[in-house]
Amino acid sequence: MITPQLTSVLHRTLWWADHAVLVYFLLLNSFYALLLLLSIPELWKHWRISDDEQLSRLLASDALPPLSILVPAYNEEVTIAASTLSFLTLEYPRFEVILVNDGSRDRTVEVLTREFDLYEVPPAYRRPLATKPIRAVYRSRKHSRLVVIDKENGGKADSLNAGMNAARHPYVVSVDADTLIEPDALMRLARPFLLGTPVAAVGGTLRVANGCVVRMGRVVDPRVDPVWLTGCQVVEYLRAFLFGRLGWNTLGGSLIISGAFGLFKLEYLIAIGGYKTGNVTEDMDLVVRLQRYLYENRIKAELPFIPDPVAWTEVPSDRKVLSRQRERWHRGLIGTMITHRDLLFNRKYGVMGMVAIPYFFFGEMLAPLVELLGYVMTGVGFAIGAIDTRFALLFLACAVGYGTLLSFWAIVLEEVSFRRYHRRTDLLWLLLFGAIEGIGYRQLTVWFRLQAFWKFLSGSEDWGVMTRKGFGTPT
Amino acid sequence: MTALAVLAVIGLVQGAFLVLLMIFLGVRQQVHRIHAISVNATLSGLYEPLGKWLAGAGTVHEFVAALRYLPGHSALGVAGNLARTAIPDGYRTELALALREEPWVRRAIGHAASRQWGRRLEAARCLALAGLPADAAVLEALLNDARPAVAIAAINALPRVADEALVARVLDRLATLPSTVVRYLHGSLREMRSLVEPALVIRLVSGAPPHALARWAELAGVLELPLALERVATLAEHPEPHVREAVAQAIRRVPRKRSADILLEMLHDADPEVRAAAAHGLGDLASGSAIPALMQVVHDESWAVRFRATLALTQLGEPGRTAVRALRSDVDPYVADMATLIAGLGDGALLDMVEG
Repeated sequence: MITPQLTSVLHRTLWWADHAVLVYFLLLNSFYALLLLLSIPELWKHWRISDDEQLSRLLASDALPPLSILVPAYNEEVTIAASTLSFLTLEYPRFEVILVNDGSRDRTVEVLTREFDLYEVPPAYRRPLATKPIRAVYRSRKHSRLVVIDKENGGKADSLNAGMNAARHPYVVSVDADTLIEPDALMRLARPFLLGTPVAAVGGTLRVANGCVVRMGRVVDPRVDPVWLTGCQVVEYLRAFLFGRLGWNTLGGSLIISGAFGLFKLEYLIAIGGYKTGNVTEDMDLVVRLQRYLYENRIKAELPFIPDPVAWTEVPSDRKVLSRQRERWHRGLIGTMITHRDLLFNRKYGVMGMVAIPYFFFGEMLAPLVELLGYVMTGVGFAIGAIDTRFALLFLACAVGYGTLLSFWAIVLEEVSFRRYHRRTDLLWLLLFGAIEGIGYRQLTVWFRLQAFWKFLSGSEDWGVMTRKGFGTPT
Repeated sequence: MTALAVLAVIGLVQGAFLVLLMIFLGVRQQVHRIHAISVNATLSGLYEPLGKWLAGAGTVHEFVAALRYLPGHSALGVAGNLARTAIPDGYRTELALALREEPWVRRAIGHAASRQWGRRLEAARCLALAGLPADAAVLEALLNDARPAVAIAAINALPRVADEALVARVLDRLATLPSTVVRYLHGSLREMRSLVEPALVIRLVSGAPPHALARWAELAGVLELPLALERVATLAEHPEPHVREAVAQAIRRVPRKRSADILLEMLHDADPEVRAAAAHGLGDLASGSAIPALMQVVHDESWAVRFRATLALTQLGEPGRTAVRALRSDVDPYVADMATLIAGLGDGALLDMVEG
């Protein structure tokens, strides 16, 4: 039995909680709006430059710095030959591919040896970063640019560190073994060098490969997967890359460069001790430590995001795998925020301390908790009759509508700039998924991210099994 | 106004925006489709006048007139593409003169001082196609543009426009530019070797600023300018290590006994980068007499020097390769490992290593 006193207390609590959620909602969405506005001139700039960019002239010159592409591989025997060949045939003047077999239990090394005619060489290079023991180093008789390192299992971060030790060139590009890089993406990724910008790292765009036509390790016909779960992720990726990261370009202090496709200055990575093993999202932790290093040593080097170099990745196509991925990403975010909590509102670290870290702490890390609080308070409010139904429904419509607006805006940015999807049906699918993503898919990902808090508190460092279906030609 | 009313207004505004975005997307798709059809039709009509002009059966004006039917921005892109891929060098001046009579080209170049950087970028791209020596002042302003993209686009116009004075000023700025931009600039300067060499010869004196000297020495090497390289060779004992390193990298481009002698001396330099560059140079010069000196340097304390020296040995014919094979059983494990690595590489991998 609810007494009048209890009702009064609940009403007051609800009033405060509702207002807190409302203020949070307003602040966060205002920040999104800011990112959206800031992304427009950035996108226009890159579109204008990339249009008529003389890539063939660049390809023939030695202007661009040589790169080492680092490819960690674990149990990739089915796809490793095709993906390695696709890396070796990228358009870039000078590069090497360092494939690191992370103690695979399948026949990854045997497949590579057979396909690329590998032979063993002594590991005669410096090793500034500690890694798990190296079993052997191979080179290819067929492709002089290929180096294969076979090492004991130590995880992705450990493999990337082993690759960095062997890298001969001043810049490294980290990619996943199953990432499909567009042929000219490396040259586009190197644009900041040509523009004379001192860079510590450069991020490129990741897009969803599910549903696309893939031949010989290349996406030859980009399509939007008409399946709800993957289709929503297509829009999600467009939003995250096309306005989220572009907006951060102007603000400075970007904290995310995807580990699946990012370029880094090797000297700085070695200086910060490479990737941290044991972190489940090693890429974000790396970028935060890199930014920190640059601030502390007063090094003026940027971490820009470039929208037109594109790499395609397979996203989870079933709920279980998506759940593991999102839980792991969020657990990594929590871990990174807790590790670097001294940066929060720390003026010494400029934009990173005053804007980026607070945004990721409150706007990203705590977002699922606040959203859960909102749903619970709404439920309680309805139960005790403290909420006006019309107001609640209108508020929900505005919240979902705002999310849809942001998604549609990302689609518009894509349509007026790089137009990877050519069919009208693809545009319609994008609009449909943009419209329905806010109901169902969003709540699902909130639930997955909430599980990360529990796993983090229980000290889990588990990556979870990420099963993939592989690329193919849709029927 | 009540909170409900405020929310209702927000919802209505959002809804209106959503509808507007959808209309925009629909219209944009349609416009894009029509534009693509029109560009494709015009493009196919371009090849006939182009072919006639190049075969001497027509005039450049017919080709330029066909370009008019493309939207301004597309015309520039198409003409630039054709100039790079299908129009021989000897026809470029004729094309430039014809393009300068076109109002859309004059208008684009006239935007070189625009406050909008996109227009300045278009002007720079236009100059790369239709630039004339009289545009030197305009091009210089674009080369110094605060927007790097504009400055980079202007570099492509240098061979069309630059005179001695502008080349001299470009060389004086080399030291202030990032290395990637300098290397990109090399591509344009290569097309103007006769203007660059005298300007470089004057500048290559030991009293010049070290950073600039290193850049000029590098340029002399990349462009393989014999007179300038003579001057570069005189800087082998410059007090600044990065100048000596640039000297070692430059003089290996021209096979001469004097270059090999200088590089042999440089193998004993105090700076490991210079020693590594000297070893690299001796390999490129394929100087057989360098084998004994390189056999000593493979024991260098620096990994980079050991690597370059072992690699250089493989470039010196069979005697050098035999020496590397013998080093595989050297008592120094670092030397033996390096020799085993290099001796095991195939020809392609060796070439990659040498160039990298």
